[in-house]
Amino acid sequence: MEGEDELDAGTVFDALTDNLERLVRSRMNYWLDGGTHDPYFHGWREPRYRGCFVFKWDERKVAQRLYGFLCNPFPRSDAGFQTCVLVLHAEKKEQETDSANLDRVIRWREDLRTNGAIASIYPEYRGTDRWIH
Amino acid sequence: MDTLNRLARKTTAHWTQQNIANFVYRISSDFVIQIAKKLEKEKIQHNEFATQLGLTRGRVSQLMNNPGNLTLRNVVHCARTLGMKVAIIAYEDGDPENQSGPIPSEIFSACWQKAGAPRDFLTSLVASAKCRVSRW
Repeated sequence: MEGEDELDAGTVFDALTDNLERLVRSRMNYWLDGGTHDPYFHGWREPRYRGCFVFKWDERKVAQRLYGFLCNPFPRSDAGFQTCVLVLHAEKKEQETDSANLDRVIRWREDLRTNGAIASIYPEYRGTDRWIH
Repeated sequence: MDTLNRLARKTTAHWTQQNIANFVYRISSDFVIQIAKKLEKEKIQHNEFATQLGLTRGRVSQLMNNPGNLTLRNVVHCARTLGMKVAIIAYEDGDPENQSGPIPSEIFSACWQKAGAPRDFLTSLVASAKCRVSRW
């Protein structure tokens, strides 16, 4: 979705180079392969934030976060499939997650334009709200 | 949604196919995850691990957070310090163009455990035969 400054996860991801890009891709791949390792990525148990997801890394000792949400773009043909829609980037300065970031993710998850953007790539998603709860 | 678009379009080679450094990084990252999980399981702090390795905490953090420059010597040193061993496995997975990326090393480890952790070819063959018999 062009022109939405808040949706900066893609821009940040695309700007990664060399070993930082390799680091983040490796962590994403580990998730794709079904691995679990909370220091690299995790979701939330709180009902309000269920389905939210974060990929984590450090850059010059500053904690970097890519927040997004899980959804199933193939709700009819592949019920077990999951994809992570990355929404926003944040530098984390406190130990606890800034819940404002998760609230932003939820707001975007429930935005009809988001649904349309996902459906434009995965037509099966159209008309559904199959994010993972 | 840019990332989603780009990932959806990416249907050919895996990113580790672009250059050797990418592939090396990915498998080094896999190794580091195994070390990190072992440290967590044994409740060993990075400080303590650094002391055991004879390195500074900063150097250990560097290795753990940026494993691209791990040498084979360091890999073995880290593993042996934690009482673990290392195998270098070349394998064919039916993906010569590397469209899917490397198989995570934990999968090899899990399969080896599941096969009864054979220590030699003979034990491995016996385990394999038992497996075939039980399936038959």
